[in-house]
Amino acid sequence: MKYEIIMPEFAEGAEEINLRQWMVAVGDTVKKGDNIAEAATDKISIYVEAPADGKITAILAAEGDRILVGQIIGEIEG
Amino acid sequence: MKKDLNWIDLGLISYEQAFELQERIHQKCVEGAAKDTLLFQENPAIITLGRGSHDKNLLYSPGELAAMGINLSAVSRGGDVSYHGRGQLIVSPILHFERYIKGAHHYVRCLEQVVINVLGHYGLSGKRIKGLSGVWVNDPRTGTESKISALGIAISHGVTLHGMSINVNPNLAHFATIIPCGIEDRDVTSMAACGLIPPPLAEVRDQFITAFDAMFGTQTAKQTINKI
Repeated sequence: MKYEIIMPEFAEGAEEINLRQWMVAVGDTVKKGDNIAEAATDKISIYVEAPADGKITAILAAEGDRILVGQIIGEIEG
Repeated sequence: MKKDLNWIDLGLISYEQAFELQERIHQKCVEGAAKDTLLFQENPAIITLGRGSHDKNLLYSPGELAAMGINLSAVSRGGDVSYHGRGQLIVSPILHFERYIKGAHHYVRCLEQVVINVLGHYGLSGKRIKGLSGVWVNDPRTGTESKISALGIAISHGVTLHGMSINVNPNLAHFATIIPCGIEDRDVTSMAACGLIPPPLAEVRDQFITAFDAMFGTQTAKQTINKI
């Protein structure tokens, strides 16, 4: 089953969110709740968690990209 | 009904040691094994490099800083370069922040308001400056708006880390070794530089707890690190 990795809603209200780094790569195995990416506003670092156990199958936003709350930034096959 | 929080004051402690404790409390909060906690500390002189740091904002080499008695450390909070040292109160709220407030951005603005209210208790008029984080006051030495409180947080598993510093009476000359938070055209100040007889950090801590509880509808009780 495919799961989407989504920029969490608690970053809502931030003026600009940048995807700072991926902590995983395509093919990596992750567990639900693992921190897999870091996004940041000017003063807030936010860790994005894996939504499910599985394997990273797609990275849909690059490090340095400006991203939006709710944006799909990757996919997991669980 | 008010939500219960703990507060712990680590006193004077190295940044690294305090961060290790902060991460331990954070982990326990995430697991539900500890209450949300306000963690207070004072550090020996150190410059911390946030995730958004730029090399140009560090004006001295690590060797030169060491000669001045200032350590250097890369850290996981957001933001640019910050200085911490004696006479500065650091508070790190370790919170499931969405239990109290909606949105990380709103949370940051409420933290700033807590500091503004603390400063108000001492007769200082703190304010925000649009586009810049932290809290600012008019520095009577220069007549300019200067930063008295810096801010940088991280959120992991929905629980916050890092937080704010309040300059009570630090060595302001140390701030000249960096461009604080990457803001070139603004100075840093302190409660003492604004003409106050500097209150003890423990007193400022207590004022912060009172203002925090009023802002977030919480009831915060003392805890010791050994109980965590």
